[in-house]
Amino acid sequence: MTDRYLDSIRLGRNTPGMAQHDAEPQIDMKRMRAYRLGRMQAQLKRLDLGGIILYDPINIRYATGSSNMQVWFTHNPIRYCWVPVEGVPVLFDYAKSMHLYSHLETIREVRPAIGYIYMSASERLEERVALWANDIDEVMQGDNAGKRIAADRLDFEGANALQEKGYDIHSGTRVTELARVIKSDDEIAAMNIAISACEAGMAKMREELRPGITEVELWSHLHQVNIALGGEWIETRLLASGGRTNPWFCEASTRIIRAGELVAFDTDLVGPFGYCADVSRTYFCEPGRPTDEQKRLYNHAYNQVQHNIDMLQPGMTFVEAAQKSWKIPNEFHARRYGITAHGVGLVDEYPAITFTDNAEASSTGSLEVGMTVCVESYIGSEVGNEGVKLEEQVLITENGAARLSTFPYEDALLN
Amino acid sequence: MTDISLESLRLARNTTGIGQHDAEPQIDMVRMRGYRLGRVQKMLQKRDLAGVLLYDPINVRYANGSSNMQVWILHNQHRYCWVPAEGKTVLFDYPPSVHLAEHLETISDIRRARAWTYFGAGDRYEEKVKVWSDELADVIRETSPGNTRIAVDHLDPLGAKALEAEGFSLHNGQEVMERARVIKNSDEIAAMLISISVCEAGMAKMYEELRAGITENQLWSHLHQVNIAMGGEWIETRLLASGGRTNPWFRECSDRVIRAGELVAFDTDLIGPFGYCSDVSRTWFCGPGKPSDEQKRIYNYAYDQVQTNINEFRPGRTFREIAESSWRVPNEFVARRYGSMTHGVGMADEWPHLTFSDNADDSTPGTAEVGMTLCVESYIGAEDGVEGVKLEEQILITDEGPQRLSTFPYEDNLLN
Repeated sequence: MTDRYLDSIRLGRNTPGMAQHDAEPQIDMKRMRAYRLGRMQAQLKRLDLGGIILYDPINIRYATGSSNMQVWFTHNPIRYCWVPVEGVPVLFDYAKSMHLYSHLETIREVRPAIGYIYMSASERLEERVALWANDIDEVMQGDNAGKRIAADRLDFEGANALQEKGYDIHSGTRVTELARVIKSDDEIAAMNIAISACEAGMAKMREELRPGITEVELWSHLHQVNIALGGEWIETRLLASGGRTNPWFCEASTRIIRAGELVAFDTDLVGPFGYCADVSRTYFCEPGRPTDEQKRLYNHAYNQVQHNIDMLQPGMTFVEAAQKSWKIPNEFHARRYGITAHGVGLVDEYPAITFTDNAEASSTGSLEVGMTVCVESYIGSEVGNEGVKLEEQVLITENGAARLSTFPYEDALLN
Repeated sequence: MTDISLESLRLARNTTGIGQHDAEPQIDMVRMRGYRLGRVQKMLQKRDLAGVLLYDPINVRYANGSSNMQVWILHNQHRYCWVPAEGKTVLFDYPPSVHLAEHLETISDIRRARAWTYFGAGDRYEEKVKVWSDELADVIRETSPGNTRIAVDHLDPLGAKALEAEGFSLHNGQEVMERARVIKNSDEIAAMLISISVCEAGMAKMYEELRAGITENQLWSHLHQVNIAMGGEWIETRLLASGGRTNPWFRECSDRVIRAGELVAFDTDLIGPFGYCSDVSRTWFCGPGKPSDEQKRIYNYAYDQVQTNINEFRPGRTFREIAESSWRVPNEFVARRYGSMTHGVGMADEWPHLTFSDNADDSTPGTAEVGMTLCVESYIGAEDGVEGVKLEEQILITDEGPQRLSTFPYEDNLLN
């Protein structure tokens, strides 16, 4: 254990509790909301936009701190929010749940949402689009927003109606991703708690792993622990065993796990406070001992993650980070993960950092203090049976990367 | 009090198994995919559309049977599908996972998806959207020569502009997909019944775990665990509430500690095996102790509402007629009643949407047809009340009237 390693886990080791103590340090929710809304409005100002229409419930939560049936609203765009460049946002909430967020200081008014999805609007779709556009136009005019606005997601019927009113609609994800990228101390504390919940679920899975359990039965324990500890949902179902670990990206199935197999997973978990814990590990299913080949893969993956954590420094461009990343041996090139590292916050976020040989495909921009990043590895050969997935979540500090995820590696596979 | 007829339970009581038997009846997955793709293409042909561009992963799964990190893809537009009015679909899959759907007979070509979200593209998003639309336009022209009328289910303004610049006119793809999805075949019903069996197993586990001192989140976690362990996929909401948090409805679960003597109400909104939705609600009493007269009173209202309204669903009646003759919500519960009397269900909540006796005109136009699956809702809570009751059943419309797909028991101690 190096001093650098011990120093890099300081934050993770000091994750606060999540209950209502009177004398322990707490996350200041009001300060966290104000910080996030301020970040979004700073981006709007920088890009000379009058405001932004948000439909992605994750962006709405970032801007206002309100959360409502998040997964359902992700594919039913009938709850939205107007964030003016200055002043307090207006939430257009689902009509039957308007009572939920009248207490938030980040929302000046809760109005009933006007939906124009076919499921509810049906043959009245055009009429509903017009109602929607008139209503939000009134709010935007009230804020003197002008005609330059942004929208994160907006179906073409709504976009057309606003364009007819003279609005010029710009990319909203540029605003939201650039706002979300730098985290405050409150956000880091919330994220650390989410990671504690995630790692508790990982420990439970490790305890339950034995020959005869199916992939989905094993995966169910991560869900259970996450929800029981106040977490919210899991973005993917990426747990695979044996041959299903190579190539990567097979989701959990009813396959029965055998002794002697590798079991790899990627949590992609949205935990308490809506913060994401995106950590990967590969376990060995006992009884028996790992083969030399399993150990070889594991050590490559371990080295990739450690090297790439250690090279992250504030001030580097994402292209430079990709250039300095661990060089993947040829045999693992074809099946490597999509990227070396990506941003993380309320979910996966900007930026994307690629590899040494395609560094130019990385996102535009530089590493800054306060960014949280997931450092990835997948090692599997085209002629191999199995593969290894590892991933750590880190915070960029002035001294380099601080480790937010700290779940142990597997001694049996590491040497 | 309305009794549940034995006849209406026949389908549910004959739900098939989920494993690989060699001699038992099975869902025919190839037939199910063929049926669903056929439904989409029939809708496209009827509207003289060249095809539909799908971004919603639930629509993609309906059209070609492929599924990939569904929840992640819901909010990351990194995977899409082109469904021409005739022929097979073209899947643009998340690039590192183009191997997943290779075996599907509904797909002619799997290409690497081109994303232009800021997450991946950074400041180069305008350049990336051009690459995206150039390729897509070629595919559309190749598979549907001569027709520039295309539908899209969800598409952001930048992409819409780029396709219009290629000479295409955009039409509503949600309408195409909702109208396709609304009538289920027998394979889909079998899949849905299995999903409901899993959902009800999770409900039974929650029932067993309910005791004073458990938090709402701890109780809810068991529904997730059972669903995932049995091959289910995700849960759309977190609608479980206890005590005063049950009224008004729509508070999601919290770390509130449940007390003896309280009502606990939930709405599963569960996406189970095969991606089919089980949307069932129940309200329980947390012992020890006995329910109060007020708790029983509101429970019986909710029960009557659901039973009465289930029996209204006979094929041939318009949605408006059904709404008009539905159970009349007593005045004290009107303000806080549920948003709809009934809604469609399939791979998630679906079209149509039916309202109440006093606002029946707000129901979607259309008629109840054989093969539709619906969720019949009730929420009963007074503005000056302390608690509320949520109940909901999932049904299928048949020639003989409604079949009950969900059959979880009601609470004897609250019912009488």
